[in-house]
Amino acid sequence: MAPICGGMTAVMNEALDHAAHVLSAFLGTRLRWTAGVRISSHRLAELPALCGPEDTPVAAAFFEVRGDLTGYLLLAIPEPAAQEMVEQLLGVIEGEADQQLIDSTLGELGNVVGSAFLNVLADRFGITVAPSPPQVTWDMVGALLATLAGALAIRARDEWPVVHTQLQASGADLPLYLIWIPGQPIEQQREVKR
Amino acid sequence: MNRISIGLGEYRVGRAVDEEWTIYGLGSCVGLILCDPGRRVSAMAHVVLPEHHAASADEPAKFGDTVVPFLLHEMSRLGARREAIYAQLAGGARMLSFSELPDIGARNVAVVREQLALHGVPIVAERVGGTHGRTLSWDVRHGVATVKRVGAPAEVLTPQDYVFEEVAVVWRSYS
Repeated sequence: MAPICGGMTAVMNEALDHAAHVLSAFLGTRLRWTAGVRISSHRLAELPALCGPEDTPVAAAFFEVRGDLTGYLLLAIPEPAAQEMVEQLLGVIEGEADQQLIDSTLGELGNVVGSAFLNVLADRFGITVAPSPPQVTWDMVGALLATLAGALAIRARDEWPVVHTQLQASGADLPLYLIWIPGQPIEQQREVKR
Repeated sequence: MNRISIGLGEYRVGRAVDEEWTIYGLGSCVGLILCDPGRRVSAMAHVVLPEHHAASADEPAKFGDTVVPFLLHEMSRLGARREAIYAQLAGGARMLSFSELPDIGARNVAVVREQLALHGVPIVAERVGGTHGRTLSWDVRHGVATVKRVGAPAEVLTPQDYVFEEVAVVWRSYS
C-alpha cells in the first residue's frame, strides 16, 4: 500500500466531509471521522481486507459511476448497526419492517451519501457524474470487495488507488465505511477547478 | 491445527498436514479444492478471473484457464496420482452487476468446470452461483470441506463417501 499525496486529498476530504454532514442531517445524529481520509494505492489482493475481517456481515449500497468520472462507490455498514440504523429511520421497533422496505431505505441512505460525495467531486473537477441506482446487498464485506477486485483485475492492472474512510455516530459504536475506487488513476483525473 | 488464509490468486498444496485452509468471502471468485484421498495430497486455489492475460504468466492459480493443470502438476510432485484426484468448488456468485462487464462469477465457474473436464478430474461437490458470498474451508488432515454463508449454519460440502477413511468410519459410528 503506497500513499498518494497532493491536492486530491483536500478534495476528497471536502467530499467526504460533505457526505458526513448530509448523512448526519439525514440520520438526525452527529457523525464524525474516526480514521481520517486515506487515499492509497492498493494491490488488488489487499482489497478484501480493507474493512477488517473479510467474513464480517455488512449491509452495503454499491454504485457504479459513469460519465466524465468513472469508478465504484461502496457504503458498507456492519449488519447489526445497519439494521438498527434503518429501523430508527423508519421509526419501527426491532423486526417489524419487511426486508424490501429495509433495502429501499438502505438504498436511499446510500443515495444520500453517494450523491453528496460525488457532487463535490463534480463541482471541483467541473465534470458530470452519472451514478447507477444503488445495488443493496447484505453479505460478507470481503466477498463484496473481492468481487470489486475481480472487476478491476479484468483491466490487467494490479494496483489501484482507493479512497476510504470510516464514519462513526457520536456516542455509538456504529462504523460506516465509505470506499471510492476511481476508474482511472487519480493523477490522470482532471485538475481541480480553482 | 494451523489455520491458513488463501488470498486472491493464491494457492496452497500439501500432503497430510495438520492445517485448515480457508478462502474468506468468495464473491465472483471460485475456490477450488483438488484432492487425492489415497495419498492425502491436497491443493486449494482462489481463482479470480476466467482467462489469463499476457502479463500474468507468474500467477497460474489466479485464472480459471491455467489453475487446473498447474495444481495437478504441483500435486504430482507430492506424489498424487492423476486418476485418483477429485475436485470440489464453491463461489462464482453474482453479488454486484457491472454495466460493461459480463457475469464474472458464472464465467469463472464455466471455465474451471471446462478445465476439470478436459483434464479428467470429476467434481464431487459444488456450491456455486447465486447472489451471496461464501467462505470455503478445507481440513487438510481429514479431507473435509465446509461452506459458510451469512445467516446460515456451516455446511459440510464433501460427500461422506469422499472424506478420508478413518473420518468416515467415525461418522458412520454416529449415524
